[in-house]
Amino acid sequence: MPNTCFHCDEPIPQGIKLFVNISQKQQPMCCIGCQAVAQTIVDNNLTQYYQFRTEPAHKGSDLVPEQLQTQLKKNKLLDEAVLQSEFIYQENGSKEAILTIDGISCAACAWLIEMQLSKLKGLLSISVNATTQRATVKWQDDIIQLSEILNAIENIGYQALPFKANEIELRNKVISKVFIKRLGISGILMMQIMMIAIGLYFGAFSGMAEHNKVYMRWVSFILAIPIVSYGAYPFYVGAINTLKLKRLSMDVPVSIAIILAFSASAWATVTEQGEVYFESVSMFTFLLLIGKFLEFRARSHAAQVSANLLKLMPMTATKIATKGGELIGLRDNAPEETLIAAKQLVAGDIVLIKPGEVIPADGLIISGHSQINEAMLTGEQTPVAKAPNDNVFAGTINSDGNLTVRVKQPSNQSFLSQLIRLSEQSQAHKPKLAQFSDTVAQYFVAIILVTAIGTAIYWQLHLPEEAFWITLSVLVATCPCALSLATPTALTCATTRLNNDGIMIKSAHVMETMPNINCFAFDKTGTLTTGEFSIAEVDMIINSDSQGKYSSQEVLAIASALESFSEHPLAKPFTLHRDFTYKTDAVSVQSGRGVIGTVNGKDYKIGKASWLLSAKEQAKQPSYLNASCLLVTENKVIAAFYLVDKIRTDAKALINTLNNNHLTIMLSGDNQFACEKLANQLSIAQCYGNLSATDKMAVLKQQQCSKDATVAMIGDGVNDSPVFGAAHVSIAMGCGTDIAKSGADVILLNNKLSSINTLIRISEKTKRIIFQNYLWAFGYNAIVLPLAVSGFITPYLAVIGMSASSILVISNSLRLLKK
Amino acid sequence: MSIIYILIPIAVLLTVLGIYLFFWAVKTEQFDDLEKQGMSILFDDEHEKKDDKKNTSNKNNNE
Repeated sequence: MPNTCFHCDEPIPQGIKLFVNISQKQQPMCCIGCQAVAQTIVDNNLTQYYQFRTEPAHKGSDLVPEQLQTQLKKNKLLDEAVLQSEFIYQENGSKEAILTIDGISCAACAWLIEMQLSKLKGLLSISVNATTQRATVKWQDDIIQLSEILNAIENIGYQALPFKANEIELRNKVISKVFIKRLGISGILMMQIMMIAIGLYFGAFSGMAEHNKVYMRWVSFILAIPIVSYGAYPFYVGAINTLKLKRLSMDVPVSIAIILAFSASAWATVTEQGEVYFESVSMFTFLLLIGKFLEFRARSHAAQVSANLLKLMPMTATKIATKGGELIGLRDNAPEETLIAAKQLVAGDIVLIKPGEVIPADGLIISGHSQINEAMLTGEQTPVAKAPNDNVFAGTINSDGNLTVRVKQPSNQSFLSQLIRLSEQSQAHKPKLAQFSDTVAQYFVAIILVTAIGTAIYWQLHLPEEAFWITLSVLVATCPCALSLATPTALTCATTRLNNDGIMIKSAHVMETMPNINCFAFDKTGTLTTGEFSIAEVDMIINSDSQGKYSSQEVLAIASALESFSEHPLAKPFTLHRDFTYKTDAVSVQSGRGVIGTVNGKDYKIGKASWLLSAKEQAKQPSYLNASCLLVTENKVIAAFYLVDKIRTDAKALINTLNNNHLTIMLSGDNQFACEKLANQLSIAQCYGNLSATDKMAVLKQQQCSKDATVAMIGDGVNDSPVFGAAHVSIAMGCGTDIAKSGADVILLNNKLSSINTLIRISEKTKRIIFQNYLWAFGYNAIVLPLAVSGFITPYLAVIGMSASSILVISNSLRLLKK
Repeated sequence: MSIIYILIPIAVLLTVLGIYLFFWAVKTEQFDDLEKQGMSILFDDEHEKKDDKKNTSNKNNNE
């Protein structure tokens, strides 16, 4: 029997025996979540999904009924008109919305969701896009509610949330459609013109009747009009825009070549003399459009993926009804609770925050004690203990106690929103390095234009009737086609290659800036370390007691059975050792201290030494105080667990490689001692601790100014987002916060630090390839230019030379795709 | 060679038709998700009915 879950392919924990009958065969499941999802799929006759999927499904969520209820309530909240107005498009009686769907791993998922939802009554249409992980749904509001649709998606194991496409994305979609149209027009018409051109070529050799030749020229002229006017339009816009800025770009010679070659050919057609270049013009436009389109696609895909990260999260709050600032019904011990959207909170509201919930607004604790995970703001996973009259911040997570909080300011003025605004501001002042391709374009364009003018003047003086044609052939033959393809094709191939490796490039400048980076700055928690605790050491204090022996495996199983009830970050690493044959009873979680409970009929306590041991015992065994938690039964310590924030396995190797040629620094919000310890372990050159988000920015700017460093910043938390704006290149971990990811230039989706080496290597290779492309394009032009200037280039030669050099440049760029 | 006076206009007309259809395809968003459409052929729309039929025919055979 396979030892992995049929649904999600994860190993099945010991003691779990769950099965679902799929296609007349009992298939093992790893948890009730997966079982429920698989059962729903079977019940709805959708088992074909398992046959055709190419990736395993995501693990089904293991929500206990109570949590499930709150999840349903939260979805219900989305039915409210106030919230819906933000993301819904209404049309007489029907509503339309875009949903982002988490967990789509292959095209079969899209099919599964469509089939499942199309069974719902009142749903007018659904279309799931597997590439962008989004669905467009349209439904009749009087028959079905949005929350029911979301629940139906959740039943088959996906997480759906409403989504509002931002301005950039909507624009990208329109641009993409227009691009495809332009490509289609240019491509289809180009083929026609080429066909006629071949006729003309043969005619030139075998002798063709003059009236046939004129006819064919007219046809190509008419066919070329849409290409030149509609297809090549983006180049004219680009050229005019750069000229307005009093600069030159690749679009300028491209536009000049297209317009001049076309008008000259048109003139030749009308006057029935000279040469026509329609096939060159159309092919030229088509090739360049492909280059531009591929580059645009790679960029907009990255934008889409990162936009998916920014879901319209309806953060909710449990508001307690108040009257004149006093709690209603507090005396009866049952205050009236209502679930509302966090956005609707105003200063003075009183909210209840349960364990595991996100704190909806900045506020002051009125009652309750808890540990709060402020990793979102500070990057530190170790929770901070909070008591009445302490401040709590929106976005942080309440770990294990119930809190009643008085809201201090509405969510748009919270500390979190302020941090986001700070990062947006710094993004606007991002340092930029001049791009190689722009510089090249400047010189190249200048040389071509000067040469063309020189040629025109020279031939005007010596052979006036041929002057125009020779000047034109200079412009067409030295066509900047290969040159303008040099950068975009290389960048597109590099971006695709990195994407396959789980590295997402969001900004176009990264590939060109990366080779110039000489300083790497790292955040500590979550970046160099995993941000998750792991059990480093189990210290067995006693190996046996009255009831038998303990092995470290048993001790871990007992501990994990207890810790599975706790939300505390220190409890998480124990889940790995969970053994479901251990039965637990009467478990209670003591906030900020530990867990008490009965495992297999015996009482145990697990928690901090300061809670479990008396002062006398503590004095006797001071080493216990260093342990993260102790397991105690019958007042005897059985084992001490030492937990550490695990350093990423590839961190050391990466820093060693980087130290050869780069300066490495660490910027952390953690205390200086912890930072230095890690810095020594990883041999990081410079280490700065105790930094706030603004301090990080200041240190980085100082590095840039005093040492003239080009800095790449690698981070993951919200507190890294302002510093991202100040760095030349910002890299976010895929597991980081949404805000960090949306501000970063690069996202390491695979969460591997070693990807940075790949990134450096590929960017250097890309730089080399771009350089080679330019070298070839220039070499070709250097040979052709004198020939054209002296009037030896015919249209056929110009076309062959142009195509050959373009194909060579594209093939060279394609080398980047190879591993 | 005078045949080209008829054939080329026909070719141009076909091209125009092709471009029209292409624009229609772009407008109806047929280029949006190329992945899913490739898979759609594998899935049977009416597989439920077919399964039933298969089951009954198997039964018949057994009998």
